[in-house]
Parts: sequence; structure tokens; C-alpha cells
Amino acid sequence: MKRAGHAERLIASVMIVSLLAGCATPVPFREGNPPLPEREPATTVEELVTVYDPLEGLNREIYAFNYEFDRLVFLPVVGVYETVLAQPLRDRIHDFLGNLRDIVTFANLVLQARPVRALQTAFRIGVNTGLGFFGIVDIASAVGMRRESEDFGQTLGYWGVTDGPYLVLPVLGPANLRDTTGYVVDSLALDPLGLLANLHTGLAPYAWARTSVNAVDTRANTPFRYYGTGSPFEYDYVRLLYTRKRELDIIR
Amino acid sequence: MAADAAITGAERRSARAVLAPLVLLALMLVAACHPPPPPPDPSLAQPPEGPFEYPWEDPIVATVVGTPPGLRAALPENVPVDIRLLPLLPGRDVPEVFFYQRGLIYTLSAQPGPAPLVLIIPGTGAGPTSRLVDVLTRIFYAGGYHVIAVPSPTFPNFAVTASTTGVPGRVEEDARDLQRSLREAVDDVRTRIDIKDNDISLVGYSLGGWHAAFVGWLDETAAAQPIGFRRVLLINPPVNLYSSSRILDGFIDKIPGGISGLPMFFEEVFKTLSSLYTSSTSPSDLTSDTLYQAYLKLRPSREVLAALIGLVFRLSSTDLTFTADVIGDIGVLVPPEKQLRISTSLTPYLTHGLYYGFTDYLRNLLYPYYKRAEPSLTVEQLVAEADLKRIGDYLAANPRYRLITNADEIINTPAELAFLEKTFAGRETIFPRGGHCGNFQHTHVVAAMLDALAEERR
Repeated sequence: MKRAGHAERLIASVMIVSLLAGCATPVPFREGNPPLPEREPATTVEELVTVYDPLEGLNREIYAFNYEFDRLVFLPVVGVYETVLAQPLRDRIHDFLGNLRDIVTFANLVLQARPVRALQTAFRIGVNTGLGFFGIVDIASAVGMRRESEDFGQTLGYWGVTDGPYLVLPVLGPANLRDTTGYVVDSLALDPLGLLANLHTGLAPYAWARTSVNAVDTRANTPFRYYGTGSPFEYDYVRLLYTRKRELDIIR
Repeated sequence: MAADAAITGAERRSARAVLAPLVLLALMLVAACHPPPPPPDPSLAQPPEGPFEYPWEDPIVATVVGTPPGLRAALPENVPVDIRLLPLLPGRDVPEVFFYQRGLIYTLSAQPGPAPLVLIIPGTGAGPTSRLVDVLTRIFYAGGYHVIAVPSPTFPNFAVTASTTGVPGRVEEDARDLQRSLREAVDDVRTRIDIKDNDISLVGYSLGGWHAAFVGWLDETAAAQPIGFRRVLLINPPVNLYSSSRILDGFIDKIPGGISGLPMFFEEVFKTLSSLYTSSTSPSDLTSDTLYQAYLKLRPSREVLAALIGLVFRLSSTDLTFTADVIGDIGVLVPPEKQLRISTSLTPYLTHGLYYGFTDYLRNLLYPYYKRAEPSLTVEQLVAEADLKRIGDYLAANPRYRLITNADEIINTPAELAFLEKTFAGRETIFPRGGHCGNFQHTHVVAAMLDALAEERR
């Protein structure tokens, strides 16, 4: 009897969440999608494949370094992670980290002055934290709630900051000056654990542990492999597509 | 007493509330420790009931969009794929810019027990981890075979690490390099897999089908160390490499202004796709079925689809042109004295290389390369050599060979299709629709592929 009671309550809560999510999902208006910033469309093949990349030589060296780092360190570590922890457990870690990441998204939506999406994101954080055992089960996605993904690079872009020179960051990969700045701001100021670790040095080990697990989790969930396309022009294609995709991320 | 019992009960419940998720986690942990590889699925090989249904009347649409989800065979998702390397060609000096080409990439999907082996040769510009190789791997793995896939000789990795000349495109050299690479791959895995009765078959699609025919011929008639194939299956092969290349090269002209019109075309396509992306409900919406969904939503014109085929083909020929130019020291894009470092910008070579189709590759790289040693060689001779008709009598008389292709195949002329039908008479399966490799996942096509390798033909 007791067990049935638990189960009923769980089902009831899930139903309530689904109903709420059902109400929340269709956004009545596309909130604050800024127009694509005016970029002169390319007219020649050369213009099309060219991205502002004043540090290209260094960037290509770092791209090559990342390949070696991936091969010799990162992917083997991911392999151990995947061997030691079973998929369902890794999923719980992934969901937990995703819930923490949603806080950064929320902060950036506030900074972009987009209240509807910010509230939706706050609601999804609440659902996952409350009903999803402090975020280890992403119930919100399971019931079809939309997940936004915003970082401070996008926030800067939203307010009109252009991307600046293209950069390849060690370990982290493709970026540009705007997104690198955004990454630093996200990690130090907008991420709650990062912020707390800045204020209390005693928390620094937790922040580092989270960053490390986050890195492994992200790599495990990123199918990209350096030089995996087989094309000798992969650097150029990645540079072009990264730049264009970030434009879309900003207006989306 | 009653009060005590109530407290204990509450404590038990709260302990259970904490323990329940932990126990659940532990159970999941145990359950998923060793996900077993999918077992063979004999139902895939069953002759499907009913006529062959396929919605795309236009072979261009078929080629790009492929089989709609509802008509696809239920292929396993979690087939094990081990990516492996064969050593570099002895004596090959790899320039710094290709530092990451450390050996020939091939994939192994091993059955747990003894099983026959299928070797796959992919199409133009494709490596062993490409989309269609993945589909074929899942088909033959589900059919109970170990599967090995190597790159096409036109894939840069092959040109750098396994092509004796570094300038692929001439059939004898490519067939010899392929036969050697396949044999080395088989030898490399012998300690890892149990090849039942040493039963090995060769499968190639598109240009890989054409290669398979020549590799099988070489292996049987001239190889010093033959592999010995029980079956050789050609799927959607060209008949003449260069007449098919000319057709596909021509598709780039569906872009208004040809390759020079690429910027406008790219911006158009990008704008359309971006509207799809920015209006999708989740950032992770762009998945494998996206292409099909995008087609239903956007209904692009056949000109745009043909242009996309042309563009994909052109990106391959650009890759090959640059790679062969560097490895073969030809000097069409890169001056021979130029040292390409890791830090060297390759963007100018990409910009220039995009103007090279496969026909241009034949005239400006392959032909000059061989003319050095054979002054009397002509382009026409190279074109005539690259033709299945050369070994037509061998193919017609050889019961090991099988053919699967489509009546609306875009890379063959009607005369070439007639040649294929005549040559493989009684050993051919020709589907009415599917364009170029656009029906691989169809239940009927999957069954035909497995049937083609079966011991006894029904």
C-alpha cells in the first residue's frame, strides 16, 4: 500500500510537470530574436572561405596540438571514464552538469533581457533540481521542455559585439576573441560554482573537480575528431562553419 | 509501543527514499556493464513481401534524400566499430602538413564467434567511417558477418599512406594497392577474429564497386598473394570511371555560374538551413533524420539537389587534387619547391583547388604524372583503360560476381546499364528506383545484399 502511494504520487507529479511543460512549450511569440548582423555576403570563392584569422599560423599549430592531446590524453581518459562508469551513471553525471549549465544559460538570458526564456529556464532548473534529485535526472527534457543554450559570448554578440579574430584554444578548440572572453566570464562570474570558488578559496577543489568532469563529459558527448573528416582543408571548413554557426546561435 | 513503531516506520521509509535511487543506480550499473553486440538478425535476409515501394520518382531526389524512415530495414544501432591503422607504405616520406596521416585507416566490426568476413570498398572520396559504409557495415554485421572497411583510393588518407604513386586514379595501380591493403588488413585481424572456413567476400559501392571488380580480377588472375573471394558484390558501380565522373562533374553547373557562383549558392542554402535551425525547438534537433525532415519541409528544387550532389563530389576532387599534387610532386596547386608546414595556411590552395573537378584531375594531374614515364600516353587511353568492359568477358564468365543497381542510376548511360545487365545476367538485381545509392536502407535492397552473399542462391 505504502509503495503504491509513492508510485501514485510520483506519477501525479510527473503528470503535473508534463501539463506545465505542455503549457510552457509553445512560445507565443519569438522573443527578442535580433536580426542577423549585416555581413557583406561573399561574392568570390576566396571571400567565402576566408575568415579573419590573423594568428592563423599559431592557430594551425594549436589545432595540431589538440589532435595530439586528444589522441594521447583526452580520448584515453574518456575511454577509462566510459569503461569505469556505466552509461546510466554517466547519464546522471551528464544531466547533473547540464542542470548546473542551465544556471549559466539563465544568467545570460537575464543579461540579454529575454524574460520569457529566462523564466522558462528557471522553471526547468526548478523542475530538475526539485523532482530530478538535484538535477541528476533531466526530467524537464523527458517531458519535452525546451532547453536553451546561452553563453556570454552569445550575450556579447546579442548586444552587437562582433566576433574578432578567430582563435583555436588549446584543448577547448575553435573560438574567437568574443567567445573566449565569454568563456572566461561564464566560468568566473556567471557559473555559481566558479563564482563561489572565486569568493572562497576553500571551494576551489570542488570547482576544479567539476571543471575536469565537465571536460570529460563534454568530450565524451562530442563526436568530433581532429582530422576525422579526412580532408586536408578541415581547418578551413571548421573555421568557416564555427563562425557561421555562432552567428546562428546568437540570433536563435 | 505504538509510538515507537510509528517512528521506526517513518525512519524506514526515509531510509528507503534515500536507498531506492541508489539501488536503482546500482542495478543500472550492473545491467549496462557489458552491452553485448547485436546478434545476427535472420529476418533481414528474408525475401520481403509485397512489391518494391519507393516514393522518389526523381533519381536526383533519391540520391540526396535516401530511403524514407518507414521503408527502412530495422538495422542494429550498436554495432561495434574498431578504428585501426595499417603501417605506412614502406619508404613513404610524409610531408609535415600531413603529419596526422600515420597509417591507412580501416575499421573492424568483429563478431564474437566464428563468422564469414566481408570487406568493403567505399565510393569516391569516402573513408571507412563514412555514412554509407556505416549503413553497409550494419547490414552485413546483422547478416552475421565480420566486417572490415578500407578507404577508397580517392580518399586522401589512402593517397598519402597506401597509394604507391600517391596519385590515384589509374586502375591497375589502384587495384594493386587496394588488394595489398585488404590483404594486410585481413592478416592484421586474424588474431582477433575467427574467420569461418576462411570465407571472405568483397563488397564495393559506387566507385568502390568498380574497384571491387578489378580487385577481384587481379586477386584471381595476377596477385602474388591472393586473398581468395567467395563472392564479389558490385553495388551501383560506374562502368567507365571517367564517363561517370564527367556526369557528376557537370552537376556543379547546376549552381548558377558554376563553382564561381558557390558563394551565392552557399549563402542561399545557409540562409534556408539557418531558418530551420533557429526555429527548431531544441538545439539538438539537427540529427541523422534531419536531411529527410529538411527535405519534407523545404522541398528544394531538383536543380538545388543536383547542385548539392555536384558540390559534394567537387569537395572530394578538391581534396584529392591537393593531396596527389603534394605527394606526387606535380606542382599544379603547390609549387614543388614549397615546403608545407603545419602552420602553413592552406586556404589559397582550397580556393584554387575548388576549381578542379575529377575530369580536371585526370587531365592536369594523373595524365602528366604518367606521361613522364610513358611519353606516348594519351588522355583518351587513360579514359579507355578505366572501363569495366575491359574485363567484361571475365566478369560474364565468373559465377562469383553479383550486381545490385538501379534502373534510374544517374552515373550510367543507358548503354552502360545494358552492358551491366548483359554481363551479370542471372546474377543481377536491378531496382526500378533509387538513383545513385539512394535505397541502401530499403528492406528489399538490404535483403538483396544479404542474398547476394548467401551460400545458395534462391
